[in-house]
Amino acid sequence: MTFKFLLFKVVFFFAITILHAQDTVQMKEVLIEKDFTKKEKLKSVYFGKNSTYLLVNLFFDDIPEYYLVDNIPYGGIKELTLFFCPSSKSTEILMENGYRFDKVNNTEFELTIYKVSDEGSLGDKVNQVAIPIVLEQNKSDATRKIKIDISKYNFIGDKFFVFLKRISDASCYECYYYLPVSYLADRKLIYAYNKKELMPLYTKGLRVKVQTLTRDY
Amino acid sequence: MVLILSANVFISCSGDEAAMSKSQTSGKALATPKVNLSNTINSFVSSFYNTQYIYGKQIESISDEGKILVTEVSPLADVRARGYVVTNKDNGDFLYFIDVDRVNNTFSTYEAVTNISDSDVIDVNDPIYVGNQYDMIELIQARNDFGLQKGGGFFFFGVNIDLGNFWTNEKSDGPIVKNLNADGTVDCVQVKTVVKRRFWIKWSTTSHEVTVPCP
Repeated sequence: MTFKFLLFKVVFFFAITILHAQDTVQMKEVLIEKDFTKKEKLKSVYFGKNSTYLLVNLFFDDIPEYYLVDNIPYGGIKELTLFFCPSSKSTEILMENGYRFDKVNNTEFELTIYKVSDEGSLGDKVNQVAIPIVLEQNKSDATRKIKIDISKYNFIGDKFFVFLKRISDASCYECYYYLPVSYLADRKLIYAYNKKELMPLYTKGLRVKVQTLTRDY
Repeated sequence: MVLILSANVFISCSGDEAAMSKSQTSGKALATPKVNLSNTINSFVSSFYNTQYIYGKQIESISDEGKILVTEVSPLADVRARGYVVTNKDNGDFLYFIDVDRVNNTFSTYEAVTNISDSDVIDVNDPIYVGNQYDMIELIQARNDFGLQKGGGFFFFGVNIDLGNFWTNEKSDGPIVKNLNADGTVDCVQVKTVVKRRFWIKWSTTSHEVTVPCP
């Protein structure tokens, strides 16, 4: 009984060994793309620094535009800082008195962040509920910085779309409102719908500071 | 042409005035009268920094707006001056204030007559910033060394300083550009630009791309 059992075990072992040998794949090279031994660090990337370009026509014409933010070190995206600056639809008012004014009207947006799909278009929403951005009435012409903590969404990536939907009234022709600050880019980073298809249309980008927890440094 | 008047150190908190004995003269020894700015200015500076501060060097000059007096300010936590108060030399009126935050690379400006404040990031590649980190006393000294005529310009760290623009918002219009829309219609856009100059330096450029009637 014992001998038969031992014989069975030996035959079984050889059979398994032969089967495994047939499944063995010889790898010529192993590439490790991420160095997981590196400690993650918080890095800030600033796009459009020192540039204040305001797309007045897009803001007042209510054209929905999506800003592609890419070339971010791959990691967990923790915080965005967006910039807003006053402008007016009235070009006469805009240039009168050298861009000096005594009031900027309350301006409100809803922010939605989208992942970038494999095709380079809008992917899934990062935040299912839009994030409100309220720029209260102010007399200063200073650029307003709005920091948004998005760490709770656990979004990991190296690019995304920003969609800012204006939800407050901006119908006063001679009033100033807060517009998202853009910059002159070297490629089309602002997407808008052209015949129902979202396409890169404007050679500008969104001025934004992105904080990411990354090993890519 | 040294016009540095004094370098009395003046410490103030919440607008109270208390002269200190420490002196920091620059150039030849001059009489060092007590820095005497109005309570309005002291209150403004105190509120801006929300901490104790010291008035340092003073220098007078001529801008396109007339005779001015510039006084540097150092919050006590800072080793070097970072604030600069501009007053009318003749009547002491508060004209302008700027703060150069060299740690966070931001600057803030205030125009007293309009009560308008502004702030933005510093262009750390600006040759003047690279050269002297926006030390405005040095800049005014260079302007004075150039000569006290009102017009013209001089070079400071390789940048041409136009003396007609001490504190201005310059406006300019770009060309009108036609854009063909997807539906076949044509829009015309134009970029209207405002360049803010503070202490003659280009601090910021804001471009507004607007829709305009097609020519």
